[in-house]
Amino acid sequence: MKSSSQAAARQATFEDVYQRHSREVWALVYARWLNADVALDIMQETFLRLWKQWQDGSSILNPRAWLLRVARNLAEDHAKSAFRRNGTQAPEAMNGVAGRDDPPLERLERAETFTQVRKELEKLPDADREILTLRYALDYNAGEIAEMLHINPTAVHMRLSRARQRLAERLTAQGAHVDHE
Amino acid sequence: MNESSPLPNVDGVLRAYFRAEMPDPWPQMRLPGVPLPQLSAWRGARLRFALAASVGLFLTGYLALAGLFPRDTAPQVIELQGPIIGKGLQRQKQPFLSPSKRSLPIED
Repeated sequence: MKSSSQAAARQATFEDVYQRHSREVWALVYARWLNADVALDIMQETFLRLWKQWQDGSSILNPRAWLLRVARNLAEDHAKSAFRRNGTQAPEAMNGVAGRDDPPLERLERAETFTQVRKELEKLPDADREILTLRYALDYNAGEIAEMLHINPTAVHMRLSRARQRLAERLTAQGAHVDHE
Repeated sequence: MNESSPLPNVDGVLRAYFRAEMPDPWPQMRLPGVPLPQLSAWRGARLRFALAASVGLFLTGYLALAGLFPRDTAPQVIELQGPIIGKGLQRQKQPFLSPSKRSLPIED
């Protein structure tokens, strides 16, 4: 009876950690790979490892830091295995944004713009992509981003501003439709 | 956060892009060895009742339609109106014989 209540409490704690940090983990891996499916797979694998650690009785003082570290490592391992399989780039990393619906004209324009955005994001340094992902996917402010990435908030502002400026110039030069809200 | 930019819409584009990429709905974590949540007894009974009612309704409908539109079981006799071609010719059953051994009919 006691062990079952312990298991239920552990599961509830795990669910709480998952709800609070799974999007961060996903965003971090997504920034590395620009692939939503790969990010989802690695995110789930990361949480699975956390669960196994808890099942084995290991105590993890800071689950968030542990999750982010493991997710980074798994993302790098994926990079190595993808390099072994495919050469320089995983094939899925070169794809356009997968549409969720059959596109009429506006959707096609939108998909085209998103493909250009992806190409420009690929050219950015990893650190800038992380900041952009946290800012626009999770709506984090500079302070939250700085705290998560262990950098100065001023550096977040600078990198964010620089990356946005660069993206804006390149998208405008390519004639991308930038009126999405 | 100050996000002034020569192209203010780049914020909208980036936000739309990243939101389109994020899984929606956000997936639940499936853990090995953790049983799926059980349905409550009341909900389970309701589902079983709905299934039984569906089957009953199907059978009732089938029987009602069968009563409204009965199918003739006896084969209909087709009345032949015209002459039968080749009537009167009765093919005789003969064992198969090669053409040379067949007896030709003798005509008077």
